Amino acid sequence: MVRSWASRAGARLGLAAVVVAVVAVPLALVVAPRAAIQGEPQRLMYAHVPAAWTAFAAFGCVALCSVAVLLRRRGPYDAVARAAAELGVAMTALAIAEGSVWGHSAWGVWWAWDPRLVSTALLLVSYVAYLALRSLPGDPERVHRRAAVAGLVFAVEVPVAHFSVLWWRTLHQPPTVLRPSLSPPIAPLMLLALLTSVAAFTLAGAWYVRRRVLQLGDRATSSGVVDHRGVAAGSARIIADPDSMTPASTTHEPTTAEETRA
Amino acid sequence: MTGWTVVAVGYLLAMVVWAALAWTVLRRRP
Repeated sequence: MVRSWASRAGARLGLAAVVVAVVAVPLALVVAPRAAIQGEPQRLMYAHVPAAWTAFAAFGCVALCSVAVLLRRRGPYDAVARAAAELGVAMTALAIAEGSVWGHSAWGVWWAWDPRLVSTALLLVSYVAYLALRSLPGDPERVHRRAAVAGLVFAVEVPVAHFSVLWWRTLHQPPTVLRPSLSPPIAPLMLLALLTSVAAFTLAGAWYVRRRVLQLGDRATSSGVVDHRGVAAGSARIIADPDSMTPASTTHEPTTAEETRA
Repeated sequence: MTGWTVVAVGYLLAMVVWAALAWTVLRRRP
C-alpha cells in the first residue's frame, strides 16, 4: 500500500518534470530574446545553469543525508545520498561539457585553467571518488559511515565552486541570479526561461533520486543487506546488545515486497 | 561551432545525459 502510494507520487513527479520541460524548451529557444552581444549561443545557458544548479543541490543533499547517516538516523539516507551523488556527477559532467561547447564559441577554447572550471572539475573527480569509495567491499555499516564522512568533506567544495567567480579573477562570468545583491541584471523573459528550466531540471532530478532509491532498496532487500526501512543488517548486528538477543528479537519483519503482496 | 549549432549540441548533450539517467531507473521496475 505504501509502495503504491509512492509509485503514484513518483509518477506525478515525473509527469510534472515532463510538463515543465515542455514549457521550458520553447521558452528558452523561442520566447526568450536573443542576447545582444553573445547571440544565439547564450541560449545554451538555459541548460548549462540548471545542470550546475541541480549538481549543487544534489551534492547538498548528499551532505544532509551524510549527517543523518552519521547520527544513525533510521531511514533510507544512505541510498538517497548515493542516488543524489550519481545525479550530481551526471549533472556536473553535463555542465562542464556544455560549458566547454559554449566556451569554444565565446572564448575560442574548449577549456581554460579558470578557477570556476577547475573547482567544478574537482567536484566531478571528488564525487566520482565518492561513488568509487562506496563500491569498496566491507561491512555495510562501515561502508555507509565512511561514505558519509567523504560526503561531508567533499561538500566543502560546493561553495568554493559557486563563489570562485567572486573570490578570484576568472574568465567565467559571475552569478546572475544567485548574487549578493538581489537584483538580477537579466531581461524578465530570459529570467522566466532560466527559472522554468531550473524547475524542470530540479523536478527531473527529484524524480530520478526517488526512483533510484526505490531501486536500490529493492536490490538491498532482495540481497538481505538492508530491511525495508533502509536499515543495514550489519548495523543491527553491531547496535544490538548481545544480552538482549532472545528468540523474540529475531522476529521476521515483512519486506516491502511482502507488504505489497499482503 | 557558432550560433544555433552550439545550442543544438548543448541541448543534445542534455538529452543524452537525462536519457541515460532515466534508462538507469526505468530499465528495471522498482
